[in-house]
Amino acid sequence: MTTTDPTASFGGKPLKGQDPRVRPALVEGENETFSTVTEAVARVSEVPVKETNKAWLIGFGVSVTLLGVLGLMLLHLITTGVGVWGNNNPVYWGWPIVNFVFWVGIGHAGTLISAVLFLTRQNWRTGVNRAAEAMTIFAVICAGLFPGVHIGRIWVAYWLFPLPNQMNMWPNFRSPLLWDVFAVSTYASVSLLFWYMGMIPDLATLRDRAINTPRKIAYGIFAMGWTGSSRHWHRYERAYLLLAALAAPLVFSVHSVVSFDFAVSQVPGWHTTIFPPYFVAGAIFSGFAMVLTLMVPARQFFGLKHIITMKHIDVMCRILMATGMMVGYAYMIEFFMAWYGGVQYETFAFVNRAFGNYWWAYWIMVSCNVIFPQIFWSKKMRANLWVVMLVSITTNIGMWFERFVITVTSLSRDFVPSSWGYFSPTYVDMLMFLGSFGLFFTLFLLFLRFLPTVAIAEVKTVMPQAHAHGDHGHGKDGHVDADPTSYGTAGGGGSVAPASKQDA
Amino acid sequence: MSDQNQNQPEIHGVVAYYDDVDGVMNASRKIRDAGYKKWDAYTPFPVHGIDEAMGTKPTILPWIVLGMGLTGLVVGLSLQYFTNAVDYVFLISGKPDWSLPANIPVTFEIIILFSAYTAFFGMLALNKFPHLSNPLHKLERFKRVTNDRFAICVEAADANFDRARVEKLLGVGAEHIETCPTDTTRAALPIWFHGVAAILTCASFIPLAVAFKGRFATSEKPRYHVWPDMDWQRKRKTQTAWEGFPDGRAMRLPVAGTVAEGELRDDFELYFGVAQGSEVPDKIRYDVAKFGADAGAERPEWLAAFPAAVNVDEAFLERGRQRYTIYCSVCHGKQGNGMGAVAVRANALDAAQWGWVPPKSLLSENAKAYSNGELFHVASNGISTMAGYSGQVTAKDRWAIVAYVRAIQATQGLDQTEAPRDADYKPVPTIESVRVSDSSAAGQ
Amino acid sequence: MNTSIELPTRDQVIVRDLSKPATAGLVVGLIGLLATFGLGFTFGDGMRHFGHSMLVAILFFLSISIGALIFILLQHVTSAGWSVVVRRVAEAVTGAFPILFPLVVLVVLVPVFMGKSIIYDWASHDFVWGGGDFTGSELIQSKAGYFGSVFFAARICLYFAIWVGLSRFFSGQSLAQDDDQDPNRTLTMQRRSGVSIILAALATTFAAFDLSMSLNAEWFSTMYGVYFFAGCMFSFLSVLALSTMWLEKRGNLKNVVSIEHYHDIGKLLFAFTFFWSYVAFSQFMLYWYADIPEETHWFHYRMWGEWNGFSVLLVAGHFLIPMLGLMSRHVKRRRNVFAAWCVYCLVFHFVDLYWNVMPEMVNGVGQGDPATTGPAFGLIDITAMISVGGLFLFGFLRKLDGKPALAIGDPRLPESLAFQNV
Repeated sequence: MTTTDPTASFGGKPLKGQDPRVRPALVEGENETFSTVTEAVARVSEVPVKETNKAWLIGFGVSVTLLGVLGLMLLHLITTGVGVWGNNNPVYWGWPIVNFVFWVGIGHAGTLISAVLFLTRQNWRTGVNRAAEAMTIFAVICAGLFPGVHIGRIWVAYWLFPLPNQMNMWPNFRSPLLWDVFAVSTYASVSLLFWYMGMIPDLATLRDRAINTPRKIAYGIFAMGWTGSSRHWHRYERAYLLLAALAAPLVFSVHSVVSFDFAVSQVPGWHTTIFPPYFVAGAIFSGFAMVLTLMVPARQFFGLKHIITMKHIDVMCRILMATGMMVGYAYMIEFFMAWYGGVQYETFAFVNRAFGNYWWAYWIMVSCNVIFPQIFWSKKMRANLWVVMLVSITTNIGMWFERFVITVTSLSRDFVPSSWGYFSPTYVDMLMFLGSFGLFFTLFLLFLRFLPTVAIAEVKTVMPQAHAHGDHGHGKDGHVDADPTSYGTAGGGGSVAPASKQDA
Repeated sequence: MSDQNQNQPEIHGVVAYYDDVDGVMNASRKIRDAGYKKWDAYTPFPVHGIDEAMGTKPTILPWIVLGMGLTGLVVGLSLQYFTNAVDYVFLISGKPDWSLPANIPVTFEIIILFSAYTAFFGMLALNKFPHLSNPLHKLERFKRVTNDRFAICVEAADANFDRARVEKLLGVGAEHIETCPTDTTRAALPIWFHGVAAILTCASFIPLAVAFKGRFATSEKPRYHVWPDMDWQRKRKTQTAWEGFPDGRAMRLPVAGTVAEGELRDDFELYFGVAQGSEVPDKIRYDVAKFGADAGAERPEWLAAFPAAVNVDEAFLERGRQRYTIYCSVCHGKQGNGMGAVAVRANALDAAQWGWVPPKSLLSENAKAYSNGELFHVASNGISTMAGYSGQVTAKDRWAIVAYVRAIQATQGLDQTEAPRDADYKPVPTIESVRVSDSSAAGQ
Repeated sequence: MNTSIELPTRDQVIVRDLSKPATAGLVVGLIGLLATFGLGFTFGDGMRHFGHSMLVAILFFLSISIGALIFILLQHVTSAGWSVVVRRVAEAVTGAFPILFPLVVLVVLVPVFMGKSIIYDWASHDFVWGGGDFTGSELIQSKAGYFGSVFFAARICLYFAIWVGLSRFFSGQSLAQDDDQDPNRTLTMQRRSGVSIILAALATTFAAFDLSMSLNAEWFSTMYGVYFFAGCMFSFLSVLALSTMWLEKRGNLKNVVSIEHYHDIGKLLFAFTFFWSYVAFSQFMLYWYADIPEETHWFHYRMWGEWNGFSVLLVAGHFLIPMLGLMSRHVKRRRNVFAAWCVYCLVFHFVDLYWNVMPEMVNGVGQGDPATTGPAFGLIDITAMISVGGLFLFGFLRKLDGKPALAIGDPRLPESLAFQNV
């Protein structure tokens, strides 16, 4: 932002933008110290119950109500059967699958920010990664819910796993739906580990600041006795790097596997080879949209504007636009190939998408995902929080419709015209989807209230004070991105190789 | 607190606090160079370069993770091989039992799962976590280490430990120095804890034991029904009685006069082998007594030729040969002489003693005297102990069989006693022979 | 801005005396071209082998140049700091575009205008519409307009216009910045890089469709553009590391490029090994699984015929071996070892393109069945590579000659020089 460098000029003329000679500080403010960062983040969770932020309470109340609605709908569904949904011949995959893909897509930004941006040394991630990881886990919980109850008899859900059983049956490993079970459960548990592991030092901070015994015990147990020992940090960082290197391909694999659910079939509009990267791009797109939707208000309410700065928002808007265009690229290539391939079913499927019964869904999708984000070409718009909120919300809507378009239009018009149909959701469909937001926001608001929302220790590493002076020759100029911070480690591959002696 | 403890001989170590990274780095180098082993630097965040300043050796964690990743590869592949290609083989979507391309995704996920868990739990194990009791936690000042202070603690357990020297080394740039007492307050776990832990541990085996028993035991009882409405649905099963309908049947009959799709049989020639509009012969077994050779006027108006709906040509005849060979030849023989494999076997066993009725020779004069319609009727509904084939063979195919029978009657039929020839024997009737027999049948 | 880092002076890093090797490259390239042409005649197959061998070689060097262009654009769009010291090398690699263009005209466009199926069967009227030995192809007939020779040539020219235009703009700005050190140029490049990446991505995608995928015009895959792009980056990063090492050895980048930069290039190379495998596997698996005849035929004769062994070689050589080999940081941090791996990667990029192009040489023209006609690697493939390689080298060295070997005017140069992995 210009605030970091208002006087940049060259040859007597002011520069046309952010001075490339200097990297702006990631933590904004004149007198920020390690202690003020700790204070800013930790105090959010230390507010006494009675003084809880009103906005938080209202939000929590609404979320818990929706969660209750979800509970009722689940009870209704389980005791009655999946017939309460609108799924029927020929659209056997209706909203439950749309919601699953929607949520699991949102669940991609967290681990992407944590892992991929970590490996590519995008140090700005430290401000938002914790919240994004939490969002990932809660979104994956919401995602897992839908296929979980879609199986009908959830009390035999363990059949999904290769457990020895009295029927001497095994799961079918050739089925992409089983790949999904493995991919999503691996992703959920690895994301959880990643999130928790990142939180251990911060939980220790909260433990050491605890003013009463219950807090001390609760944070103390989960901090596992962390002391900040450098020998511990050494192994911790190595493990973090390894987890990042493992989580990066995992992020790609999960949504690729979700795309395989569709793409290995022969259904026109589903069976196309670009699906895996296209789904991954879409997932990152929707995930970043959700991060923005959550973080813009959160930083406002919890006084974290100097840690989650406008630079963070700016970068995320640009990522949003970039991934939106990747998705647009996939839309275009699919259309082109539907014509180029000369397969009549494919051609029909795509014409039908844009101009058939569900034309409105298709054009909502295109507008929200490809057209609206184009506004972020303008730096002014990226700095306008209302616009950012609006576009990130329309992106969420657009990405839900993308999954709806893929799932429903293709199924409602398959090879045999006699089986064509039109999908209509029931009230259970709608309330369950709404209720899943209740689940998501209940968990997320609890996280915001009781856990360290920002990775305190990691933010400290990107502050100028974090580096020994005269070491490696960089100054006090807030020039941090180039600093060889220990968190700036990249290493897709070096990861699984032994650490060599540091050649400092 | 530290002042009180200074006189106690039992000290855990000396702790020095620093304000900034430089202070802790410099002190670390000194302690490292002084040759101490049991000491550590404590920082609120990972300080870059401190590993070198402390002389920390690289961790072996990456190697462990690599090993477990490879284990995951083997486990993932062998799990899928064993379950889908060895222990529970079934064909699905035309894929081989062992389909490597389809097994890659799960294998990949298992590799990641194993490696990631190893990275996390390996880190915990190498760091000896959880480690909740630590004398350093008792120091009030030490609490700032997780906030903004940097500390070094040289432990008294170090062989070279000399408090004065350590304090001197650490003193430069230190904000504060104190000694850390050993943790005398450390209480043993209460007695009840052991008891509860033992009970819980044992209890945790119960579900496992129940599952294990279920795996090998059999039970007379029906399984537990979680939601009974899925097991006992509110519906009537087929072919059962129900008082809800006046006729007492659970199933409904079709509405009178309805015809199922494709079941409209308005072409009498094709479907019944009689002239259009004449009486449709009863479907039940052909009554020889009623329709015998002498029945005369009571005989239905059997069709003498072929129905207009079929086109008797070479292809039709070939179709007839195939159908005949599949459905008829096992009894009637490939030549039609009634010496099919079943008949030969039955004769060899002298099956007539148990009431076996040998299949008729289709080459007999009696059989030749049948009109086409009558032959068709027999093929459809059976005769004597022969069953009808209308369920297995479509009407047109039955006519094709009739055509083929006519053909072999015209071309073979010379020697009824002739033994079956080799299995490959295939009569080669021509289309002309059908026409000949057709006209002869029509002439009768 | 940083006193402890000494910025290299212009004199230290300027690259001199490259006109001789450049000319040598040109001469070798032209002689090689003639030799390949001559060899092509001896086959008596209507120059089909010549055309396909040349296409492999052109795609090989074109993909390296495209990789360089996209690499440059990515560095600008992400405001990357570490890569400033190697960006000039990438800019020089893009100097090959104008040299490759006449080759593409000669080898690809001329036969298309002649209506001969030397490379592309769809160029032959008989093949598409029937006549002679051919029965025609309804699938190609339905898109005959797309394969009209004028439209095709216009597209190829457009792709090159985009590539050449973008590479000239970005290397021009970078060179101008050497003199005036104006940070505004960095900002301009950063601003334009967004749109440029879109243009480059579209041009590359459709070039992959037109130049390579349309060899079998009945086959299609939406992923093909991404697949080709993965190969572009894979090969370019190898070339980047090798050329940087060469310039370092020559003294132009001495004490400028450190092992840290190679480590980073190595990590990217590893990442793209994985990315290529991910894309290639997805493309194959989706078609294998759905098993629809109009899609599987392309893989069928590559994987269940004489080409089977070659396919196995590709999987092992392009994925398994480099993945294991490039995993360790020790490999990436030793110049000689890393150089060997870069050469290896280039070899397998060639194998990849060969596998994509060559089975189509005998496909669908009545010359044989690719399922029963295996790879026929021979002298002509080598001379084709030498000829295009020589010309590529000419473009590359000419662009490098007389200019600083790194962007000395870039405001982020100090950051790049100080760059360290951990």
